[in-house]
Amino acid sequence: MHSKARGRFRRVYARSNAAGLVLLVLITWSVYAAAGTGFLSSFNLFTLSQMAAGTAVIGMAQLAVVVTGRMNLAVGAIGVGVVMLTGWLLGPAGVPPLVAIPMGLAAGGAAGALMAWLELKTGLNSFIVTLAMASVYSGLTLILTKGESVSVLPSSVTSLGSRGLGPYVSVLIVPALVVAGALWFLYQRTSLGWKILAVGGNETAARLGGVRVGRMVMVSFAISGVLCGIAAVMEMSRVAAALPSLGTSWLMASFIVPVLGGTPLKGGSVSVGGALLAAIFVESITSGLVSLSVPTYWQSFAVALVLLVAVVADEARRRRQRGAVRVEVAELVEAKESHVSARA
Amino acid sequence: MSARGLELRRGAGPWAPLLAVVVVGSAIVASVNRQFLTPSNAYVVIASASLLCIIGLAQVMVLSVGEFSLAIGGIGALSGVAMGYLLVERGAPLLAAVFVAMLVGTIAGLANGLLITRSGVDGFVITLASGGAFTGLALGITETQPYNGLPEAFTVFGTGRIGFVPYLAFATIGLSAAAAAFFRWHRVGRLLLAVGGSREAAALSGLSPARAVVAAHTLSGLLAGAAGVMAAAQLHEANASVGAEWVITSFTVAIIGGTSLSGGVVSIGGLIIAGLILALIKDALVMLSVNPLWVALTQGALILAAVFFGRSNRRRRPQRRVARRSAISEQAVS
Repeated sequence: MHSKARGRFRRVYARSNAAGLVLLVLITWSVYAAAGTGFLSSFNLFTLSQMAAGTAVIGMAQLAVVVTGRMNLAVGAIGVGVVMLTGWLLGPAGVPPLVAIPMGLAAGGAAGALMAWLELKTGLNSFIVTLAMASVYSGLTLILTKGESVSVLPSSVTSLGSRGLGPYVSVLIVPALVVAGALWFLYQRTSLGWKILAVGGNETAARLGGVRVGRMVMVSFAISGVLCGIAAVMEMSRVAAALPSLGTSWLMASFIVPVLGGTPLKGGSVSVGGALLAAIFVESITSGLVSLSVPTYWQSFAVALVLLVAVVADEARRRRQRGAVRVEVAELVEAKESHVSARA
Repeated sequence: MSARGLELRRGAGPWAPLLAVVVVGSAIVASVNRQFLTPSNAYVVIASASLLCIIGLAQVMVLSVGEFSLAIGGIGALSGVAMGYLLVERGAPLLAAVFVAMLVGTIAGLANGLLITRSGVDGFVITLASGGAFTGLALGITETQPYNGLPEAFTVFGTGRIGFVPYLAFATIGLSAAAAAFFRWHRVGRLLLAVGGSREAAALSGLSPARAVVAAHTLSGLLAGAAGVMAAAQLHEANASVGAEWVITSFTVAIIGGTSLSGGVVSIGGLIIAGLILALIKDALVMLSVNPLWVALTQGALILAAVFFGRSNRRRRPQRRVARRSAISEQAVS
């Protein structure tokens, strides 16, 4: 009886969340397509796929930390650090991409792990630690690069950004999907992922159950740092340059994607597929506004407003859902009880 | 009176070790650059600190109930732009424009508070998105061109001084004193601290956490609006991007000043000292001709150091404050 209810709950919850997002994306696309300003053109959709891929990875970078109940406010800072480091390695330092990129990603992972270590050693809130370290990392990057960008990059890297799987879809969705697949596998099929989720679900219980909480947090933050790096390299390839302005808009997207995607900020559960859909939704809004020739200075307002509404509406739906499921479970329990008492 | 949730911090906050460093550092800077100890430099520092303190005060308001507001920059930008619009495009009288700006801030804060308590979405996410919306609105209104040509009287307020004390400092001192009195003696102020101290206990005592959250965000919006007005006065222009770095600044000043991240403990006196310290440090870096890019890095390092060393005064709270807060908003709504 119990597991049936739980199974039903999970299916209903997940299905409706993903379904809701798919619906949102379809509605958005229909509205923009109806405007007849080229939303469905190959150029626009190609760009959309590029942006959505990047945003998806940014969102997953935050997701990796959020599942433990913590937050990473340094996503943009780590991103810019990795992009400038990798850009410098690829450009002026002439390091081959197959060496430079892993080095950059490793730096990102180390940056993330350092924040986790600080949090564990000092006992400070992840909010404060990552907020402060964001300043440290971005400040350091700015100082070391003197604010200069790297615009001469090997073509093997920059061509990735412009290549497509057909005219409508950028090749960049491949790393995004690979990351998503890896995370899905991690959280759904490995004991490491399960332990990470346990830390988010109930840290004390997890610790009492033998989970090395500190280690799980460090792993999560390291994953987050690496993913920031991946997103940074993706963007670098997309714009064909390593710009010190990268990452400044990452923070909002990094939280909205998991939240809308069904990964709660308090941790313990995860929805990687939802995050992908949410990324598509978020970028679709902007892309549509661009196709409508909405001036850039109104775009940020429109996007923020839509996201605000979406987050509130999503929570409202979730609450209604919970109410409905509670009724379901209660009915099941009632049925069982009456069954028992009838027998007795 | 020192019931746990009603504490105004007694004794030195995290700024104490920092103050020692600053005093020593000032001596060093003064020996390197003669300009450091002049009245005109003191004016610069105090003017800068005045703005920092108001920004920090806006954050203190929400920190008192255990919330975070990431919308302070956006509200400040929007208020400044609203004022600029009225003054430049509509030729409105100065006081009316300032009043409207503060009203805009208050309403924005109120909207945040209501959204948070009614929707049950975490304050962090709501203010992150609403802050973006407010900034976006300000950008849209100004079409990214700041409003210049603000009236004479306003710029006098922004840059005028008595000796080396800017007029702006009086506004800051007034608002800070009001805030301190508010937390110490006013019923609502004590409500905020009680709720911040322990939401469960406050709710069980018959207090309303939802009302406290709304009040906190509304007041924060009011102060953010004031900060927007002050920033416009200082810069002689109403700029939409003025609030971009206010988020981290607001936390830095508030926390170094001794206000607790977990709520229930505020320190207004510490806030003022922290504002002065931060302004001094920034000024010292300029005086030493240090690369301005170092400022961001030092701010980050400072906040870490300050919070770490001030830890003995803080209560330990479990990491997942988000869960607690959502649960309580749920309760408050139902």
